[in-house]
Amino acid sequence: MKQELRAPLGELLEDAPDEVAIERVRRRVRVTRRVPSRRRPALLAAAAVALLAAGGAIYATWGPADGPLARADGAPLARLTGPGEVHLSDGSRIALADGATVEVLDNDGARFVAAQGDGRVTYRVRPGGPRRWTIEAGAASVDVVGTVFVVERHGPQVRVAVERGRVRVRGAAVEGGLRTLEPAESVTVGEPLARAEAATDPPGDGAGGTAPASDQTADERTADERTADERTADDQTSDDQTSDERTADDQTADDRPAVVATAPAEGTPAGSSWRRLAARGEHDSAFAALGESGFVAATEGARTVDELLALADTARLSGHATLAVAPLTRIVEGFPTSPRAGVAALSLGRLQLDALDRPAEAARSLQRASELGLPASLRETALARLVEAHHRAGHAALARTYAAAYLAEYPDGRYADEIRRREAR
Amino acid sequence: MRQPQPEPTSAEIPDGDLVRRACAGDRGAEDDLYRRHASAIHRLVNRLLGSPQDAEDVMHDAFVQAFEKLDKLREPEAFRGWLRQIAVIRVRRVIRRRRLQRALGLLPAREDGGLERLAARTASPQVRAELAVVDRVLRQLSADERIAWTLRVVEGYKLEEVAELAGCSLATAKRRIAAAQRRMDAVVEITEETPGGGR
Repeated sequence: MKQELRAPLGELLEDAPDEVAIERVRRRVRVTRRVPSRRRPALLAAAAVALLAAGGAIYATWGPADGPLARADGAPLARLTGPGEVHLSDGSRIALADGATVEVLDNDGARFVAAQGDGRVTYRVRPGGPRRWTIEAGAASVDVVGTVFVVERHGPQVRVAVERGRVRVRGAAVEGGLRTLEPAESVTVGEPLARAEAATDPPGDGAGGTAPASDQTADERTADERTADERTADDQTSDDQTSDERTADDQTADDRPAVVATAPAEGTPAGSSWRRLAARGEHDSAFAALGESGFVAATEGARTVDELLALADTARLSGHATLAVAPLTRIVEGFPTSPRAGVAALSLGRLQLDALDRPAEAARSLQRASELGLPASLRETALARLVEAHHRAGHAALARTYAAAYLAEYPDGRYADEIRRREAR
Repeated sequence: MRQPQPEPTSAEIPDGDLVRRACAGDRGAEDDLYRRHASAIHRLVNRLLGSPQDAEDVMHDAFVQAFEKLDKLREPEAFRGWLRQIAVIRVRRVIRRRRLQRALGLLPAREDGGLERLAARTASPQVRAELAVVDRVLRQLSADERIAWTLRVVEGYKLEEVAELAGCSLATAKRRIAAAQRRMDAVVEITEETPGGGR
């Protein structure tokens, strides 16, 4: 039966101001207002002098606001693997439990976007920074300003707990699509691993840190009660065991994100050892453990997006870029509804463009990435690379079309000058 | 004896004074203007766009543009309406840009978000379903029709205010709202509580 709505419809809505977003935008406005517009060259010199004068104080307060975040020692950030704690150049810290992984997807003066795999990671984001932090963790996206929070992911289930500050958790599986968490609050998103799997956990395993996720909703422990160091190697082994029974149907039927620690593919001679090596960042050793034929077999037998991503990383980071194409292609074609299919297509496009010099294929992959959906913070990069791919492939008309789309969307974007220069030639 | 008047708090300072102070380079006044109007602008653009991510970007761009052009504002007291106008113009650009991107295959064809996502927790499943229908129709409208109709029927602005915010004549505003309403009438029943009213 049709329900009659009464205007103004705004009265049916409950969109209380999102204080986290408002504060985040306030900081962005402040940062933008601090940096002189390139459209006002007359002010540039004066602003540069002012910046120089205030430079020391600004640096001490904010760190290198315009550049990407780096490690405290200046080394670039890429993929982080636990256990360990990474100190960042702006004073923020990321503590990863054993086996946990964080992959940096985008990183500049305005945003820091990272994808978290399975495991427990504690983020201590320095308050007052200019960057928008987003942690993509499968079923949940976490938006942060400055705060201390923990993201614990076990396959399709993600638990976010706030110790200090506030975060916003987004995702289709989040009730109402959005939830703001205050200190001492937590939310668990997504289905737990199959109960049958939980039933096979060794006694006492939960107390060691990998308790069935369904029990963790009521978990009131704070972030400091369990540090990264407390997670033992046994925990990781248990993860491997409990994930073994997950079937491909589980993954595709409900589009849940995959589990990092899954069964080795049939015929994979190295079993799961390559995964442990890859999780520790030892990609050369991981690839050596598999061998090329083992890698191909593992790719063919892989049943989850996480396993395929781990294989792609192993190939790419051990200097076998060509082999990384197969697992990434399998994600794009075999798991198109996965929340990470778009990111996989983007990785594939970058690989084809940068490492393999196949711009026409790269253009197709980058186009597919956009169609599959990307986090907002990656769309600019994807579009810029699409322009480049078409240009290098000799698709002049398409390159112009997408260049115009880029410049309309990001007139002051990171790649705008480069695209304008290329178009002007 | 006359008591000395206490210093007015920032909440009591009129917009016009804050604008004048901001024009003189007082960044604290800019911050006060932001804090005073941010919630309303956030709500407005969020409802017009249905996407929190885009809403944040529009909000950022609107405030930056407003602060950069503050000296062009001839009536500083009119800051509130002027800021809304800037925000609505930016919303229009984003809607058109997103459509182009969808047409080019740069975004997933399916558009997420909308009014249904913003429905009150107490809203019945039927109301949510109807709001989802409204969202579907809104996605088919032109950016101008969508904005005019949302300002009028969702936000409850008077027709004159809709025209001003949308930067068009009253007749054009009426025409856009009517065109959108015809599409709505085919699928959903919406009654106006105060036909001549509004905020």
